[in-house]
Amino acid sequence: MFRIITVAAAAGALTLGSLACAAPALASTSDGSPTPTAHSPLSVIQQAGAAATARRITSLDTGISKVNSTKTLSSADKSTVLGTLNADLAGMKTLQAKIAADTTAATAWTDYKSIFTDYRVYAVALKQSYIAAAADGLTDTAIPKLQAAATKISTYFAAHPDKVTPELQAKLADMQAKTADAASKTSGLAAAALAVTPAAYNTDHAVLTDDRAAARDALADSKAAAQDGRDIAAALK
Amino acid sequence: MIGRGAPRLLVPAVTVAVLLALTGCGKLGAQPGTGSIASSLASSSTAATSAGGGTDAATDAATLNGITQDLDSADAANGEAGSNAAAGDQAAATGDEP
Repeated sequence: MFRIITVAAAAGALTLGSLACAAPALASTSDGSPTPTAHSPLSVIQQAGAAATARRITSLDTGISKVNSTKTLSSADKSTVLGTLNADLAGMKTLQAKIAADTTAATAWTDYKSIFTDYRVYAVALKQSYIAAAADGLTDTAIPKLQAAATKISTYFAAHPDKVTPELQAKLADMQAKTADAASKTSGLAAAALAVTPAAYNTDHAVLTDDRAAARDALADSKAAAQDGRDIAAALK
Repeated sequence: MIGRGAPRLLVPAVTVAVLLALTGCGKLGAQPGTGSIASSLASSSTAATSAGGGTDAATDAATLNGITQDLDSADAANGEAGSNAAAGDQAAATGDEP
């Protein structure tokens, strides 16, 4: 329990002000044990189903609240994300009630499995939302600002050729190249991530791996470009 | 009358001639000289150049400020993107299997 609270607090501190504030609700990494099987008694399956649905309902509530307040997602992507998360929330509530009312272990087991295979709240819905938020934040804000800064630096260089060293020229070239790389990697990334469905994940558990890597790489490029800009600005002052 | 009035006209004429010679006024392509009215004009011209330099300095400062502001915005956006990417990783690590 202490571990869960610690992880949740750390995640909350790291993600203040972003969609990632939903992270504390994700801190637990399993649905508890023992995990029921097809041969478990009805009461065991119902207990596990109640816990699994309650956990996802909490995570979805938190995620929906954060999506509603975030400025990172584009309005179109926000609409898509909210549509998915609200549909999943309704589905979890329906399953929660149905599993509690099931009268046979077989039916309860089928419903229990549906929590995972039909929704993939963590593996798809929330994960794709975070990837889209990261991609939109880079595409809509970070990259345009880096491009604007590079343009201003170029203008300054042209006006003050006496201040331009080969090292500064190289920094500017690297800044522009890294910014272009980030733009290339985030191009269409949010849409691609949001297009992934639970069915696609069921077929290929690595379906979001490339999108996740692209977001990470683009972020690294964007940070490197910003550092180049900082170095140049410091040298010009 | 003519003979008596000539010296009275000569003094102002010589004075004007000397002034013209000293200031350079009246010549084709005349340049302002030192110690004349023209030197005041020259000073004004220098002042205008200095004002232009001040404007250039202000423009440079504004450009550098703009660069800093753009980079601040980019850093803030990078920070948020990083938080979201980390949350995506955390979601990926969360169990979602029956």
